[in-house]
Amino acid sequence: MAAAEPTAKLASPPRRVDWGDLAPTISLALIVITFGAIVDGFFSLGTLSLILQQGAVLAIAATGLTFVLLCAEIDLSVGMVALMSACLCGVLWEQPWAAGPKGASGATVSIGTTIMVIAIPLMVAIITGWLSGKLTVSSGLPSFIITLAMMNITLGLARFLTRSEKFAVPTVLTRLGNDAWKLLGDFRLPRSAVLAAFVMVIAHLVLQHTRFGRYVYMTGGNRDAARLAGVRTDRIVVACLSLCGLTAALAGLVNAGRLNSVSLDQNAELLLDAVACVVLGGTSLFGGEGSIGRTVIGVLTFTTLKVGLNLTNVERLVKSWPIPTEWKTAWLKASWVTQFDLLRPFLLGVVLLLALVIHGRLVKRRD
Amino acid sequence: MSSPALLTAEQITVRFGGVPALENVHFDLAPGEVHGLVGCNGAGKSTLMKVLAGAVPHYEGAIQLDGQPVKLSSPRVALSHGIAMVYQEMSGIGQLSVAENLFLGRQPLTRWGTVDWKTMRQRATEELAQLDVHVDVRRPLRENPLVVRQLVEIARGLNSGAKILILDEPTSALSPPEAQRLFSVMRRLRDRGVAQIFITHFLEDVLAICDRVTVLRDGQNVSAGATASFTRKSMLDQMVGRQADAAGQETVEAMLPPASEKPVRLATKKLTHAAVFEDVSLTVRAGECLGLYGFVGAGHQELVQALAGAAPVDSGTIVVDERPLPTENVTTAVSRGVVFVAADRGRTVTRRAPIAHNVTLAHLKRTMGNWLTRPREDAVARPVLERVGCRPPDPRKLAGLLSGGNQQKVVFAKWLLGPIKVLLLEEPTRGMDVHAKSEVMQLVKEQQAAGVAVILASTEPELLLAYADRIITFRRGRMHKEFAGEKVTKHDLMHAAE
Repeated sequence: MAAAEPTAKLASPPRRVDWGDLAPTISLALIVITFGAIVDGFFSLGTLSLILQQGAVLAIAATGLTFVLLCAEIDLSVGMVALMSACLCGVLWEQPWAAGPKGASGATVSIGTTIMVIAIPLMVAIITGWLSGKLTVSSGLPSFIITLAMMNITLGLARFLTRSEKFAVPTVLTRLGNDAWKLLGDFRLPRSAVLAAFVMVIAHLVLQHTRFGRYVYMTGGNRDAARLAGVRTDRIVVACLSLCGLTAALAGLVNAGRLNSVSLDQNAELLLDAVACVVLGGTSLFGGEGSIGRTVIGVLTFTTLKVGLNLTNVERLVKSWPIPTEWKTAWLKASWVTQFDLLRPFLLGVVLLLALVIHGRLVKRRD
Repeated sequence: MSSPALLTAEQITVRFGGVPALENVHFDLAPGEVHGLVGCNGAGKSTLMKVLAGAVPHYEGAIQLDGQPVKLSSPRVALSHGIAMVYQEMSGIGQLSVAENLFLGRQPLTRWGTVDWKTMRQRATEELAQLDVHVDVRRPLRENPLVVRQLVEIARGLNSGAKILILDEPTSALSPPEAQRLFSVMRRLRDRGVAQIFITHFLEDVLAICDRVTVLRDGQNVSAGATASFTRKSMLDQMVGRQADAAGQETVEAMLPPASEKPVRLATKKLTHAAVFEDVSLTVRAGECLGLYGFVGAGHQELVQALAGAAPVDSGTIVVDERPLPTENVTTAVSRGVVFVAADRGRTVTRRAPIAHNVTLAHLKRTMGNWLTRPREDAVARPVLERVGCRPPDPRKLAGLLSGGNQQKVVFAKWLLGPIKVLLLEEPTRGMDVHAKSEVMQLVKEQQAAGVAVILASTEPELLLAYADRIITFRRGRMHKEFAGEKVTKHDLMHAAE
């Protein structure tokens, strides 16, 4: 065939800048620069430590969710699976054969028992995810519906397990959630961030370099094509949802450790925050496009935004603006300055919305 | 013809990307007649009807309705002029009730502005009764047989005030009694003065129901006249067109080689999927290309998918190399070397993924082992892409950027990385130009020469005559006639299929 000769001419033209792909990174940069300008001392190692610590839980949950979104499914039970696992862990920890009520004899618990107290909740979460996956592929219903039901099931279980009480968690978890290694000056590397990085590196290697990872992408990209090529797409979906259960549970345990105990008010926002992170990084909700690298960007963007908003001191900001004094005094009394705390979720939502809409439009234009 | 024409279309020319699909075609329709429109695949029947239905706004030529010139620039405009089309495949919205389908977009309202369900049901029941359809109009449309769904679609057209109904292949998926039922409705409508254009492959149906016939070939008028002036044979002759083909390149007849003596690669026994294909028992030998010919809906395309494990099977067995092959299991079929190339590349190519990922997908373990890396994957994909002549053979490019023919080559490249015993092809060259077509079929021939058994299902007689060693025709889900070791023409094939 005359294929060989014209290849040189047909070689792809010099690649143009793909704004759709770069948009998440640019958003992150813009958010960092903005907060650098309005928050005193934002560019510091302390802030970085804070971001890493705040982002760790989210990053772990978002990793599993990335798998699920890549194969064009969704898991709405992430937050409640995290809660249930943490509750189970707390309840087990307070059993007489472990640390006893309020974790009183925590110091004397054997390593084997501690491992069991942590491993059982993780296993239960995997089974929950596996069940969601099985039901999704066998019923032909969207995973949206199945995991919505699973969300309520796990919330109910968590309530029943704890009888709405607060429970102590293993010392290992509290240390994992709170301790950090002092490295440079006031830069502290939180252990939870190291765990999150470890989970993400493993996930990245699995997605980019193993057959399973490739099947996840292809199942999400075109399920029919994957099936017709002999890929057992049903198993891939089940595996992704099981994995997501595992990372959700891990996130729940780390979060309980960070807060030194587990109670029903935890993880309420974990699901939506994790979805926001993954999508903010540029992973498609329709499957087949995305990566752990993008999820890292998404988590950093989201956490920076959250931390930055918390550090923003509007009163000081208003005082420093070069505007007439009478405006300043009026503004300082205005409710949007005095009650700024209440406005934070609103601002978070507005910025997220802006970023997502701009990304969406850029990607749409590219396609 | 005595009455003045209801519709006249003069000098209709349509080009798609510079290639003419219709050239100076004339068509006219009298009030209250059933007008048959016949021709082979690609003759331009559908294009002409799409022009009349307003779906091809860029046509050239003049259309007159009741003596008034009109410009049919959109389906809405066509409908407002009283032209309604009943499509073969898309028959209403299955989940909605029959009544809702009948009044889609025109529901009767109460004075509160809500849907007047009672009136709607009543009127739906009445209007369907006029077409001799007696069903519970509250039930979802999908619970009704196809013929009822088509009649509902017709009723919907009439309900919107249509004077001209276009029926696109209405009988191809109907059983003979159902087709008779449709015909009796068509006769009734004719008596009511509704003009109908009837597009079909089944010449017997044309002779049974039509008053006049227009024959198209290669986008041009061949003949038109009262049905009585045609016979089945004369219609077929004009559709196929002997003289024209001598000049044209496409094969219209072929000398099939004598039966192969090589070992049997694949055999099926009484393979059945109710109402799709039934009782199919066939064999293919190594190095042989078995052609399956039939019209759309004849079941041969679904059969090929079922052989690949990609479509359901109710009963019957498949044997490959003397070992039974489990049905409805693509993974096993692929590992046994039974591979499938679909007409629709959207089903086999992941457009948003790089070409390399598409190529290695089926045999990832064999070609890449346990640890995938980009350079190694490129090294695996590039040679096979060059071998199939994919342009460009760049493994990193997104598959969606390739043309249809090159996407099909990617599908071949994917299978070439593993063992192939049986190559199943469903209309593998659909929508490709002549050059891409021959390149893709060249790949098939190479495999055949290497001892692969090929099953080629198509609705294009030319493709089968050019490449098949043996041809079986399908008719309404069943094997009808086998051609082997003899001279066979396009005419024979079409004759056997309809």
